[in-house]
Amino acid sequence: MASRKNTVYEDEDVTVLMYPQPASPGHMLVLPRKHFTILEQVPPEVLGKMGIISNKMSMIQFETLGVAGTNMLVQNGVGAGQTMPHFSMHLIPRNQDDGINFSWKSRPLTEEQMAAVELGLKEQLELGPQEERIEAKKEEKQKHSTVLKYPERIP
Amino acid sequence: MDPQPQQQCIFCQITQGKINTQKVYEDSDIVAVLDINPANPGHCLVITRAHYQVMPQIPDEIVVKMMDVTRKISHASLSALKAQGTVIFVANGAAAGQRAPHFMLHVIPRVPGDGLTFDIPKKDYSLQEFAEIKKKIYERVTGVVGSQPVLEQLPVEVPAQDVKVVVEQKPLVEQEPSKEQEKSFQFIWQKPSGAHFDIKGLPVYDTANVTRFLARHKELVTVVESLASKGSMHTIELLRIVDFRTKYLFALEYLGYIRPLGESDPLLSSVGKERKKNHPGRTFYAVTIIGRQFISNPSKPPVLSNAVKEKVLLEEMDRPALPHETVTHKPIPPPPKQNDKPDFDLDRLTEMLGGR
Repeated sequence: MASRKNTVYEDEDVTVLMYPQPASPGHMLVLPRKHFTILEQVPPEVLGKMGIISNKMSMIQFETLGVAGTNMLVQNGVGAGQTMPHFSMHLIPRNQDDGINFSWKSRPLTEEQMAAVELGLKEQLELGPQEERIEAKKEEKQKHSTVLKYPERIP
Repeated sequence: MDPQPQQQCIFCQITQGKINTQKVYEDSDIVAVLDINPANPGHCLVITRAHYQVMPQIPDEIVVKMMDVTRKISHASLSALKAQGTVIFVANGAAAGQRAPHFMLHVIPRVPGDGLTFDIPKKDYSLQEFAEIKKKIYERVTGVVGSQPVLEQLPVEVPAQDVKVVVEQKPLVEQEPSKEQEKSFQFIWQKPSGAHFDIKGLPVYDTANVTRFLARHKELVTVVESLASKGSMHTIELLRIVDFRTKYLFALEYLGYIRPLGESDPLLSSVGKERKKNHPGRTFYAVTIIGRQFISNPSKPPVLSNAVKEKVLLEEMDRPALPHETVTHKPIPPPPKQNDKPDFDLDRLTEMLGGR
């Protein structure tokens, strides 16, 4: 962010600022200070801090603005509607009949489809995020590496 | 607020396992299940085992865990379901779209052509309203968080109108400067490029005042002038060049900020000459002004007489500080009242949201 005039809270990891094109008065944006594009890149410590701070900020929105509800929205990826290449969380205060609609129509799936989805997700979750998988692969490689097995043969 | 699971709440029963659901992730505090009425295949709900109605009620440790789980699920749905994005959605309050009294976090994978829009609408608001709300929120934030860290000061561009031309009269030249002296002045008074000065290629910022920096060194005796703040160098830049106290002098001399004064130096005033006699062992330096009075005519740096120099010194001492010179520390508010009550009125909140 070039101008700091809209920042409301600043920290070594997190910035909170008032979004300049608000959907409703009090629309805030929580950003990490380092550059991350998507949610998966953000390390868990920073993400946890962002969660805590967005919690406090939504409470402050409740108190100071007297709104009936708040939304937290993360658009992760271009397919989800991400406009900025920097990871951000939107905190939008809501009132009854304010013209914003974040509802969706539910499309129930068949049991087979649900089971397939469940299996797919469970598999991926057990495997773990990509970094861990890469490390696991490296460890495997090291086990089978001949150079490490027979160090004396190195010329 | 009752964190114990409640019998009437469907989601509490889901977390306890009394209702059959498809669980994707399980933990001591958090459960993630597939939504029965999904917006998209792979729509997950991240729920806490304890009964909370809205996110602000949840304690910090569980929030951290939840964000980590969300991240993992988002990653899983991107790789397993070949989604092109995920939307993480939280609704606090019925007006925001909360459909159940138990808090949940939606992770919705997005595919092109799914018919969903989570675009944020833009509405125009008056600047005044915006400013008022910003002020209110800022005050409350400092009240909750305590003292705010000082925001980093960015280098400020001083507009050209701000330049103060001190030397208006034709200066009285006591002695014509020799070619050597002219040369030495030239590399000090360089043409400003934009807002910064470049002193031998090193950038100069407005943030630090070099007099403050020099004041730490007792060996330096400023004879003639104090440095103007326009041309002050960032202390960090200097510290990068040298480490130890004795080497600071070398760096400053190299950069042209200071110049050791000889016996009969034209820059030495009468006061300076006396002082030099009284302290035979000490080296005296002339600290040059790299500042606004020379911006007016950078090609021809004027040579000032001692009288003018003293006048300039007095004026510099008297003038009020410009906005870019003062470090604006926001006033540290008093520490939060130490009560047993938490910061927020959670009972009132649950009433407001129609919680049970």
